[in-house]
Amino acid sequence: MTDNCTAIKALTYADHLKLIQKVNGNLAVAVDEKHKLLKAFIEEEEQCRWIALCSSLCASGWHTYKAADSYVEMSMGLYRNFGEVGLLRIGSHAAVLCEGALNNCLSYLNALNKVQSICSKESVLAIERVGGMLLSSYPQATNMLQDYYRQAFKLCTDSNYEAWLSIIELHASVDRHSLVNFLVDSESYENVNWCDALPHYLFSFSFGSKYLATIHAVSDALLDVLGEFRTLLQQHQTNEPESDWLESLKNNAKNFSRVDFHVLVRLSVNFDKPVLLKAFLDSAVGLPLHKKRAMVEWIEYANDLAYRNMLAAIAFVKLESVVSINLLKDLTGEILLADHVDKLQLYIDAWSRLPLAITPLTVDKGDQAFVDGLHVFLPASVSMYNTKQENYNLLRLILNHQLGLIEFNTFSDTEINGNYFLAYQDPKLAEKLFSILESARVDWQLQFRYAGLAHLIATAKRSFLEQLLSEQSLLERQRLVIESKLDALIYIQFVSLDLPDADYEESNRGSRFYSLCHLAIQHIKKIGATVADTKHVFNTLYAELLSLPKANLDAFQFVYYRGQIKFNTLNQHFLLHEQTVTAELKENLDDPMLNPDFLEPINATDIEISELDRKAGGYGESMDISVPELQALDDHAKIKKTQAALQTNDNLVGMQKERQQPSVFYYDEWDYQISGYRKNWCTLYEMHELELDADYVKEVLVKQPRLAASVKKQLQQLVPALRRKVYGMNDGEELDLDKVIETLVDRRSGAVPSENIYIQKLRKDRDVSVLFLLDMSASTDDVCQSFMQENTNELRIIDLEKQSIIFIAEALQTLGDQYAICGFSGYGRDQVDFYVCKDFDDKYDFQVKAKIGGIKPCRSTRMGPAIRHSISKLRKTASHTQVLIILSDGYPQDFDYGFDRTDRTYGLQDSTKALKEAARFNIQSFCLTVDPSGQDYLREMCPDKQYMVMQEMSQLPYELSKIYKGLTA
Amino acid sequence: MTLPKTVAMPYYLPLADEVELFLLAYKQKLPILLKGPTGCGKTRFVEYMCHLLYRGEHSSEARRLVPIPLQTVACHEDLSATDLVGRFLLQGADTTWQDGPLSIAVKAGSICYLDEIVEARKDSTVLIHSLTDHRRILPVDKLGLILEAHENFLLVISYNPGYQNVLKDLKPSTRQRFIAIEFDYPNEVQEAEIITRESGVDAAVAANLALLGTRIRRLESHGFDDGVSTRLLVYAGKLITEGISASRACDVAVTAAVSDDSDVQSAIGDVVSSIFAPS
Repeated sequence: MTDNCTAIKALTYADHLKLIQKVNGNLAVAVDEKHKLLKAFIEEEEQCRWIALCSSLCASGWHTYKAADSYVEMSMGLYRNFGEVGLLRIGSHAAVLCEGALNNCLSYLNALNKVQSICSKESVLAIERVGGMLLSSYPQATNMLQDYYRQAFKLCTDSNYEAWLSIIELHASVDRHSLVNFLVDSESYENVNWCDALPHYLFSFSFGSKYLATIHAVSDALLDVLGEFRTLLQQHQTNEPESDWLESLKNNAKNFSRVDFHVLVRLSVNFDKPVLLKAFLDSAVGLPLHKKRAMVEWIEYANDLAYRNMLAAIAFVKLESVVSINLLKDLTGEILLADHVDKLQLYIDAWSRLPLAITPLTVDKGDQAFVDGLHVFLPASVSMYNTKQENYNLLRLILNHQLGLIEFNTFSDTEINGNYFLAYQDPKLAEKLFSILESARVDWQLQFRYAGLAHLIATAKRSFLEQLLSEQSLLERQRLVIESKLDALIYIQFVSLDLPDADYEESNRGSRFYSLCHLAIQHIKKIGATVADTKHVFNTLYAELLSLPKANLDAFQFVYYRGQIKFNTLNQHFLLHEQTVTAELKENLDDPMLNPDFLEPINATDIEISELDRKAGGYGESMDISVPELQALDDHAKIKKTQAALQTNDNLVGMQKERQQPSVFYYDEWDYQISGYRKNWCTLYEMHELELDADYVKEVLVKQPRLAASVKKQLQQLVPALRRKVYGMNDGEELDLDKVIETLVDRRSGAVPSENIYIQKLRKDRDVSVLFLLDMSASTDDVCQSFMQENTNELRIIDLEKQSIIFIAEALQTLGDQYAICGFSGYGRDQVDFYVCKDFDDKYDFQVKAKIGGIKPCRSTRMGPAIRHSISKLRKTASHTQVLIILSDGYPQDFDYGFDRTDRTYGLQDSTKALKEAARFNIQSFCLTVDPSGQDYLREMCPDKQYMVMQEMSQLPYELSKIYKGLTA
Repeated sequence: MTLPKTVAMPYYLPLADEVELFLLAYKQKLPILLKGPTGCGKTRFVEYMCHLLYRGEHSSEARRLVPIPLQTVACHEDLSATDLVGRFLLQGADTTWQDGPLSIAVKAGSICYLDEIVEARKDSTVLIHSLTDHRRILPVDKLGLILEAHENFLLVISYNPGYQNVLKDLKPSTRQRFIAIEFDYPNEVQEAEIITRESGVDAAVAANLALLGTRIRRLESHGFDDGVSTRLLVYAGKLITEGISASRACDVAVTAAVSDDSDVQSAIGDVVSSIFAPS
């Protein structure tokens, strides 16, 4: 190329023109014309070099005359902007590019042409320098070079283009792929400060590119917290994927409001470690971010913890550890409904005659409490105030308001349902107005009736009034500018919250609306006001409101503690309840005026039928009854059936049906790595439905009658454990005074005295509950080695477990101990299956036997939650002696039992902890394993003498009965 | 346990026709079984009736002369027939016979009230059989005597069906010797009146205490067999009369007394704080 170039330069102007003429005649004409213009400004030698460049461009390859054409076209402008040196250098650079690919050259010239009048010489020089470097590094990457020139000249007027070029140089020194990605990204990102980005690219390309992506995604949201964001960037530059907080920030930003996002970024500055920051950003949704002081203290605790135990700190920040949840609750005063649900359920039972179940509000149900006749929906947590007591009071008030709606007969007026408001011209306005007035009436009635609640309600009214006024612009509301329906609703709600008169401007007190509103509301603000009074007030005010201008009523917010009244879901639920309760009340009051026939217990089915009839009459045809309505009736029938079954205890079929759905339990799990419990980590499903094998038990007993008899004999030796006083014994701990006196009297009267004058404490009854917990994991499907050697028939571990349990169960029938037989398996922490073959209350009947026969091996051994659930079942028995016997075949293991699947320590530690929990509740535990390596880990897991490794499998039934005897005697 | 000679008329608010029934049963010498939850007023009712029959408007000359008109025995699992009938005692070098409360009542013609009869040993419940049918006699084995009951004698027993188990249920042969009057807690209005009268609190506080009683009784199936008794509500009222705040009085007299379950206690505490204004 150099020789060729020298040769080209050696030619005369005419020679070059001829060469160009040969390639493209038009171009030769254009060159000649441009030359005539240029020769007035540049020396002859430069003219010669110029035409040589044109000729060179033209001769570079196929269609390269186009590049020459562009250059010629631009030449006068280039000379004016960059002088003759610039003109010739640009031509040279174009020629070099053209040698590689025509498009590279065209891209360069076209991009330059667009900005040549505003681009500085230095900028062009720098772009050419980096372009040259890219060309030499990646000569084949034509698209990349074209992108480069296009973007470079677009940015050349930007003050921070040099930083951009530096980033390009950094990329070029590494690999083409990252450079291509960067060019694609940077083209799509606008208004990026490349000077800010450069240090991050200098740190690492991945961090730099994540920075770029984050800035692009959340630039608007970051505007007000740029300072904090820069601090974060300085503190937490990292390449570790587990510390990739920028990615988390970018991905989670959409989950926060703008205000919350700002708070989030401001709080993030408090983290010492990027890995904690990432954990925080990933799990910050739902955190009480607005409680700054509490959050900062909580973060400080996490920082301290990180120096001692990083895993614990991560679990802490992710709100997975019990310590974290408790600390946050303490700091914020937050209370969780789940923590109080038992107590509040009792409270409901005391307060209301309806069997209402507390249900936490979910996202789809909104965030305001309501009652539907079967359930009371309450917020899952309350953290409005700073102390737990205040928040608990608020939760109780929310509940009491819903109970008040029932107590003060909001739903007794059958006319008011979902359709009631449709008859009004503005149904939405009507429904909202009625809800405000009815809620206000119920509040006042509660205040009149219950002095304690009156205090709570008054406090809440003041508090919410302050909050609403501050949100709604106090001055405007005080001026009482009722310009729309929305204004009127807001004002009426203020009145319903007992806004003091003094808070209004003097001039407004005489206004028509003010007077009317206050006059009307007095009807429901009196002792004994009913829903009929609310209707009256509602009709008066509605007529007044209708004349006001329209407004978007969706903006109206009901007071939080009053929740909402769902008129469309009320219907059958309350009607059914009402009839039942009325009947009960009449029975209870024992009114002599009542006809005895009327006092017959109301049959749920009768109610259903009468309700159906009523609905059929109301809607035309019975077929018109909607599915939800039928469902409501069905729900009620279920409740009634369950109650009847529980009361009469003879509807076992009904009970069985109730049990078909597995009950769900949540259990904490001990993580030795964080030295704490992970809160509600495992989900356990208690199942009563198992596969049945009706013949299994019978076959086992027929095959091995001697073994069965032997186990039975061994257990029958157990003596009763409960000591009771027996009078008139010939020996004992204390004297039976009556007998002593009788003896003395007999002796003196000459009769033969009795020697039975003592009281002895004897063991008369047994008071024992035992739960057998069988490992049903897949590994129990293995064949027992010792049996393989001894017998021709193969026997699996699960069979041996089952057989042992059968022998014990048969023997226990005569002993009278309470016992349960359960099994566990599962897959992962979200699916721990706990099968109940026989519960403590169940009889050892055909069904239980079939369930035991049907036990099959499946999946994993997550022992901890199964033990914890067994503990909870045992504790409910209230027996003096409570025993848990675990039959297992190996290590506790599950695919997510610890972060490392191969790490056995996690499962062992959790099981150990669970057994310690059992000991804390005075539950004796015993682990029996058929795993030959059991000695290694059972020594750690169980206290002394509370485990056994079976060496001889055939001895399992004997050993089990011995253990049983030892534990319960 | 006895009713003093000159005791004031015990306060009792009749809830239904129990007073008339008792009077008629007494007239016809029919033994009476009182059934009802703890603290609903069974013992008070017997005291009231006893006063009415032996000292009050339904008394007679003969009955007014009975020095101790009511013999009350609180039955327990160690109570034997000897405890009811009588026993020999050693006094110095002699053995002397001591009549039991049942023998005293049979002889003197007073009312014998066996409280919580099912708690007593079987031999003692069988002992009363001959007293509760047409024979109206009490055999005293140790003396070789058969006591004929005085014409004014009446046997009254009580038990609480709420917390009896199968083992301690009354045998049909015993149960079917009595007419049974069932008691329950008074309704809210009546209970408020009783609380006012017994404790001296004002009507408003008494109404709230009665309301509290009604609410707590709805929790009967949760950890305690009986709801809160009227007696406990009266105790709370008495504490309030003495100047203790209503919430604290209910705390010690009601909440802690009815259950040891912490959830139940908390729930009752919440009901109390909803009903009574904070002090």
